[in-house]
Amino acid sequence: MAPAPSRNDDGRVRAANVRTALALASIAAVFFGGVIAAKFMGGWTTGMGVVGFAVLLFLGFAIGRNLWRGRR
Amino acid sequence: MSSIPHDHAPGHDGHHHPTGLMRWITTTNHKDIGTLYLWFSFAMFMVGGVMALTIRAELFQPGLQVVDPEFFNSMTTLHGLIMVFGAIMPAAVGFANWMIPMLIGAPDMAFARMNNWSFWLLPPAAILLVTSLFVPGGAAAAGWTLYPPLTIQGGMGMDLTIFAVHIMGASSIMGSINIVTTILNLRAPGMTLMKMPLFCWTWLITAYLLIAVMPVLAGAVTMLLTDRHFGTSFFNAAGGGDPVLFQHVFWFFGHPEVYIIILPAFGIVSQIIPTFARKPLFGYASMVYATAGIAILSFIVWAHHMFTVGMPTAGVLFFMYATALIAVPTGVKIFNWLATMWRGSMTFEAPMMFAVGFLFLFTMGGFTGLVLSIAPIDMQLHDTYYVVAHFHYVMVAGSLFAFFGGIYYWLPKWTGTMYDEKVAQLHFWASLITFNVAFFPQHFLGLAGMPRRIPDYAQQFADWNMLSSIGAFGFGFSQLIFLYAVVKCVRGNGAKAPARPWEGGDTLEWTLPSPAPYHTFETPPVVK
Repeated sequence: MAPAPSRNDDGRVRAANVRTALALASIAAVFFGGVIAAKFMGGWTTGMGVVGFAVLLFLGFAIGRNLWRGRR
Repeated sequence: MSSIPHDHAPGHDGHHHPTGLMRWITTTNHKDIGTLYLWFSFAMFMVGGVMALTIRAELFQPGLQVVDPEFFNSMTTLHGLIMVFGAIMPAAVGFANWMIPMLIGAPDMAFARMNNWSFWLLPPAAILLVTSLFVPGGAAAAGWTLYPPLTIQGGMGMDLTIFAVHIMGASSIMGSINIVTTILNLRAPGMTLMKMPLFCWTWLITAYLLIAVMPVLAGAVTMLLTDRHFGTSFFNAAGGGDPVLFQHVFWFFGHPEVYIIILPAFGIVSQIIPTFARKPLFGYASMVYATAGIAILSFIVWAHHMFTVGMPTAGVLFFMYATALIAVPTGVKIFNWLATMWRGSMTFEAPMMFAVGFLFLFTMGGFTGLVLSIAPIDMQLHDTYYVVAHFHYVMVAGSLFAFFGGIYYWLPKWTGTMYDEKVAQLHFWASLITFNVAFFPQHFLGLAGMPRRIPDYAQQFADWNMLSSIGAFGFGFSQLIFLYAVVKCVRGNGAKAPARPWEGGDTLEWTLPSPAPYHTFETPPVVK
C-alpha cells in the first residue's frame, strides 16, 4: 500500500503533474506537426521519419533524465 | 495526512464560492465543470436532434417537400459534427469530470484552471458551427468527413467549420491531458492502477487516443484551410495535390474517434452491471487488456472506410483482417459483462435497463460492423443506409444508452434526490422501441441500395423511410421524458437519496454523502 502523501510531497506532485502534461502536449505537437510535415515534404517516409525521430527523442530524453537522476 | 496538491484558483479551498452566473463562468471545481459539460452536451443533443428530424421530415416521403437539397446536405453535415463533437464527446468528458476524481479519491482534477478553459472553449465553437448556417453560401455541406474537393470549394461556412473543429480539438486535448495527469498522479494511497474502477481505465485509454488523433484532424483541417486561402495544394488536384490523402488522414483520426466515443460508454456499463448484478466485474484484468487492445487496433484499421476508393489487394486484405480482429477484444468485453450477470442477484432499475439495452443493441451494431469489414460486401454497401443504420446502432444505442444509464446511476449522488423510477423506465422503453423503429428499417433500405446523404429517393424505398421517420420523431420526443426526469431530480422533487442508493455499489463515490459535497477527498481516503 502506498503511503499517504505528506505536505513535503506537494511541490513534488505539482512538478510531476506539469511534467506529465508537458510530455502529453509534446506528443500532440508531434502528431500535429508530423502530419503536416509528412505531406509538405512529401510521402509516407517523411511521416515515418518524423514519428521515428520523435520516439527516439522521447526515449533519449527519458533515459537521459533517469541516468542524470541516478547520478545525483 | 494532508490534501493531495492540485492546481486551483484562489479561494477554491474555502467553503465560500461565487454564486449565480459567475460561479459557472469562473468555477474550477470538477463537479461544476462536469455539470456544465453535461448540460452543454444535452443542449447540443437537442440542436443536433432538430437537424436529424429535419432530415427525417424531408425523407418521410419521396420527392422534395421540406428543404432544398443544399440545405439538406448542410443538415447532414452539421448533424454529424454537432452530435460527435458537441454532444457525445462533451457528455463523456462531463462524466469524466464528475466521476474520475471521486472514483480515485482525488480532490479535483490536476489542472483545475485548464479544466475551466477546456469547457469554455466549447460554446464559442458551437456558436461558430451553428452560425455558419447564416453566412453567405450557407454552412458546410460536404458531410461530417469534410472530404475535398467539395470542402476546398465551399463558402465561408466551411471556414467557420474548420475553426470550430480546431477549437473543439484544442478543448479535447486539454481535457485529455488533464484526465491522464489526474489518473496517473492524484490517485488515493493504495489505489493502484489495477484497483481503479474500470470507468477510469477506459477514460485513461480514451484520453491517450484523443491526444494522439485530435492533432491529426487539426493538421488535416489546417491543410484544408491553407489550400483554401494560402495557395497550397495539399489536397487540391488542380495544383498537384491528392484529395484521397485527406481521406487517409481523416480516417486515421476518424476510426479511433469511434472508440473515443464508445470506450467511456464501456466504462460506464462496467460500473453499472456489477452493481445491479451484485457481483464483482468478471475478468477485470482482461477487460483492461481488451480496452487497450481495442485502442491499439483502432490505429491500424482506418482504410476500411475507403475500400471503394481503391487500394492494392494486399492493403484491402490487411485492413479487412485487422478490422475483423477488433471483434476479439470487443467480444471479450461482451462475454465478461454477460458472465458478470450470470447467476447474479439482478434487479432492473433504469441504469441496469439502459446497460442491458446497450449490450443488446451495441452487439447488433458490432455485428453489422463485422459485415461491413468484409471488403466485397462493403463494396456493395458503401455509402448506403446500411452504414447509417450500423453507426447509429453503435453511437446512439451504444454511447447514448450507456450515458443515459450513467446519468440515472449517478444522479442520486449528484443531486441528493432519487430520480422517478417510473418516468425513467418509461424513458427507457420509449427510447428502445422508437430507436429500433427509426434505425432497424434502415438496414433493409441499405441492403436494397438506398444511398445516404440524398434528399430524394426512388418510390420503392418509401414505406421503410416513412416508418424510419416516425421512429425518429418518436425517439426525439422520448428525450423530453428524460429532460423531465432529470429536471425533477435536480429540483429535489423526489425521495432523498442515501449515501449508497445502490446496494451493490462498492466504489469510492458511494462512501460520500448524497449530494456529494462541493469539495470531496481533500483528505485522501486510504484504499485497501
